Amino acid sequence: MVAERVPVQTARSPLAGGPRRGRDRRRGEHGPLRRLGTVLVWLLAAFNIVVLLWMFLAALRDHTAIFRSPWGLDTFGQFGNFVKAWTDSNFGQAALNTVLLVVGASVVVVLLSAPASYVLAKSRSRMSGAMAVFFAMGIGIPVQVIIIPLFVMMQEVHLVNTLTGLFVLYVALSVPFTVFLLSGFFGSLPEELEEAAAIDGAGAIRTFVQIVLPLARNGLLTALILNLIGLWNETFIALVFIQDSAKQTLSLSLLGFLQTQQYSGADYGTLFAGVCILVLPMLALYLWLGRRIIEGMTVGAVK
Amino acid sequence: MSAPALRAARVEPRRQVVRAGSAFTPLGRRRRRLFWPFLLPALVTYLGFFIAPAAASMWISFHRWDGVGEMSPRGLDNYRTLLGDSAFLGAFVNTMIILVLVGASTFAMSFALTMVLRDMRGRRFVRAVLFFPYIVAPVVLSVLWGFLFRSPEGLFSAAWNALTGSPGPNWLGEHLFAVILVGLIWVNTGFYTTIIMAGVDRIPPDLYEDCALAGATAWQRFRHVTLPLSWEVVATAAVLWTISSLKIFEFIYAFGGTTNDMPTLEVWNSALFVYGSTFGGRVPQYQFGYASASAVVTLAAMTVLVVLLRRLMRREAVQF
Amino acid sequence: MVRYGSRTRRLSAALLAGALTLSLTGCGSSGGRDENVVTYWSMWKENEPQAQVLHQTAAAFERDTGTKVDIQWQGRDVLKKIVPALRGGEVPDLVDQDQNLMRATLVSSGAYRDLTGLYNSPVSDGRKVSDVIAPRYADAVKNDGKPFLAPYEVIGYGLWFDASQLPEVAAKPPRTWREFVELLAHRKAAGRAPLALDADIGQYNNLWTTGLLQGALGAEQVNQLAADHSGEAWRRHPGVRPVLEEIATLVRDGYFVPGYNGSKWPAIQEKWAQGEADFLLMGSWAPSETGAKARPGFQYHFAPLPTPGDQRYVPVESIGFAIPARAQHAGNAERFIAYVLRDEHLGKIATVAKNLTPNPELPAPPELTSLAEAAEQLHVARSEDGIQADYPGYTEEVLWPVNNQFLKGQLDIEGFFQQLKEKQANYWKKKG
Repeated sequence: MVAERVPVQTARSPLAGGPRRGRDRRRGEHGPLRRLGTVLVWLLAAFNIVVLLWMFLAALRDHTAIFRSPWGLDTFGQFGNFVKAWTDSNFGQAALNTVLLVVGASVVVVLLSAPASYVLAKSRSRMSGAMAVFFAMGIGIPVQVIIIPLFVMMQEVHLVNTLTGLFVLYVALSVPFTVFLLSGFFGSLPEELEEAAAIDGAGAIRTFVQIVLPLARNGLLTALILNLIGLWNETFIALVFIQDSAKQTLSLSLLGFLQTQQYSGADYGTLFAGVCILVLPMLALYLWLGRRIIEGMTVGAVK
Repeated sequence: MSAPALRAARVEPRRQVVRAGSAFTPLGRRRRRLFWPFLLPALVTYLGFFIAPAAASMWISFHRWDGVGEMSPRGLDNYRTLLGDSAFLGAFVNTMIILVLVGASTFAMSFALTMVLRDMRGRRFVRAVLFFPYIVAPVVLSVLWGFLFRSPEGLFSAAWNALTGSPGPNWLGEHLFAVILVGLIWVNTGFYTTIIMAGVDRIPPDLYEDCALAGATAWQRFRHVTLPLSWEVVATAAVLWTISSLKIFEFIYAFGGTTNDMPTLEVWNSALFVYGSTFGGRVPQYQFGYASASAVVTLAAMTVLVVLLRRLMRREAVQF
Repeated sequence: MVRYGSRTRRLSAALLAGALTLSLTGCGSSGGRDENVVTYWSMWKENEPQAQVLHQTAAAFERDTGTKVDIQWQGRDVLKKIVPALRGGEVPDLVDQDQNLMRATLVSSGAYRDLTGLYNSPVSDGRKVSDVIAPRYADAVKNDGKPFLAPYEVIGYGLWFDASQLPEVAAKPPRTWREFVELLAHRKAAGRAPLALDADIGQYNNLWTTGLLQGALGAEQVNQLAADHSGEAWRRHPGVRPVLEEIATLVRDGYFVPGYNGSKWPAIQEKWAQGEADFLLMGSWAPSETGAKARPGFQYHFAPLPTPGDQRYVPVESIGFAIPARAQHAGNAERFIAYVLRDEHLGKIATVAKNLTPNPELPAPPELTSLAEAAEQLHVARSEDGIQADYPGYTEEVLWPVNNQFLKGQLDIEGFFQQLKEKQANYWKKKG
């Protein structure tokens, strides 16, 4: 029974081929409504692509031209925008800080949250239910409200104006969402494998590490990437807690750069170039791992 | 509607639920032993860096405090003032509008998209593209929104003019909040479509084949197969939306003029109100007590809503 | 699948190692207490012209005195970093920002250093600090008679236009409201858009309303209106309605460039810089903000805003240095400020950074000579009549939202009074 069910589960697991069997047949039903829907969906997709393209094109155009004809292509090819954005915003040092910080924090928060989510999802006691809600509540607390007590706390332990401090905060503040996401994910994993492992005499921790975690790979990856995206763009905490220019993160540099648009000369071409520099790594990551995020979310939400 | 198929889908899960819920199997016992060791690291971090300062904020909410000097106790005054503060009430109403209107539209859109995407050529590509806005910085989106909706020469206004012959409404000037709502629906649809589609994709195709054999209409198919079988996913997504809609900030903030300007008061939501009462604006107010109180009120309202929502959406889990 | 998994594992191992290194290297920021040092958190970013001026001055200061200025280019949000730190964290010795912001942070929390001593200390050639900062600027940066700011740059507000397009206006700017309105009508009849305004920015809209009211009612009168807890004062004051009627006329007669009320900053000021509208009511950053991309041949010229009243003011505000009360090297910081205020350094704020200095002896940059003259000849007033500094949040929650609708033509005068009353009463109720 166990042996039989498992392959079925994995085969059907996310999108891989679930509905394929039925698809050819269903393609036959082309109502007018459906055709209209298809057209609309493509329009929406086209709109999104245009948005993205527009951003990249604008990043290579001259400021005045962008305002004169936002949808035009004249003055295209101002590659200097990117050079200027890179140097003016001090992205170099910030990029290194951010990559280390954000990647480190995302990995650690997933490692920290995975075991917790697992027991929350799998042990169905009153306690675990209450705990799950308790963690979920944290998603809704606006950070502006806790920033001052947080600052006082961090000051006590001398972690203000250090990347370590920011790292700790990023991990801590990402815990609620990550636990929420992952517990949904673990809840959807089949019991059978674990039971089999238990019968085989594998220890609880070994079962978790060797059986559960690999099964949950997509979910963990999803959590990792969503955290990467979120922390990559995080500005407010970094703004309050980082004081030395050398410790700035990318989003801080971008903010400072955006602010120089006021008073010292607005240049939207360069502004977009700066934004592109910030968005591109995330976009690349998404294109590279996008399917896995989606698969991960798929199963993650199926509780 | 093919009854046997549904029944078959329901029978097995019961068994599974019972098995999983039992704490008396060896697996269940072992898990109980694991509970605290596994939970503690995350819990301690969460308590230390999140709940402790949040509790401190709760305490602060009963005071007047500029963040620097001494706190002076105000009892419940902050809360009393809040309930009569038109700025806060407006922001709160906007938060609710976002929660309900954007939420409903986003979920409706997401379901519609899922239905269409389900058997469309290039579905993966389209789905990936729909996710894009979630990654792009809100600043860019709002600048773009400005170019799209400005009147009279924005792209949207031009299209309106071409269709109706009239210049159309002043979108940014008079209907800014509506424009923001549309933008929020647009940004979130990709994310929730991905989630819901994931749930729907797990529904075994044979159920749909049975439907087809039984001659079910598209609506019946949706009502009796798709919706019940993806209910858990939708419920989880709804909770996630409810909680996270509270914190929507950047997209609205970016409609302020410069990076230092708050957008106009009419479009504030609770998160912007908190920011405006503390660090935001050209000359910040630094009213940490008052802002904390407003956050507590919003969070309390939201907790009630989440509990209601969970009760409302609780159905028997249908596993398959 | 399997191959992928191992790659992920390797990747995560590398990331983990990275995280570890990070946490090891991140520590240790509190250095020794070197007495020959000033820590300075700046509102500028490294590549801005003001930053370059200050950076060079700091280098010269170190050469001359042996005291090192440790500068962190924090950008405009510098005070957002200071506020949490004021409660016991490490604060810098020196910080700079706009006087309004400084008042709302360092001053309102009592965390500023009284700069009276600094104002009495020497700069160069036998002059004191109080000699090189014009009293009209110095007077505005005092709290209970104690100066909290040492200005090094002055922002002035008024009408900006292209003198090459309007040479006759540059030669003889309109002085009375009637002259001004006639000029506008004339320009509009000639097919021009007379006025530019990015009406999505509350401050820019209010430059009109408060600017005109200042002229009609006198300086600090709008401030009084805002201080009224019932919010009725606006309607009761007999001088307000006529001014609002003038503004409503400007709006109704279409003097503002089409689309001003339906766009997003900086779209309209771009149009103005490209010569598509005549006058822009704005602070003296207008030339530097739009200059690099303006229409070729654009000659920036300033004229004080004519008003329906008897007086004409030039609203001004200063950007300058302040010292937190808990600064460790306040003495060094004061010496550095005095050093910056020397002619050869302060002069570069005009020549390099293209801004006005608080020292009238120093030549103004060519774009701002007309502003410098006006500030010399006319009375100065606080920008937006000081309501931003005196009543934090008032503009965002009360005046701007109402005035925005008024300037966009969505609200009549009665509605203006009514909404303002409600919002203002609400504001004071919660402050009270």
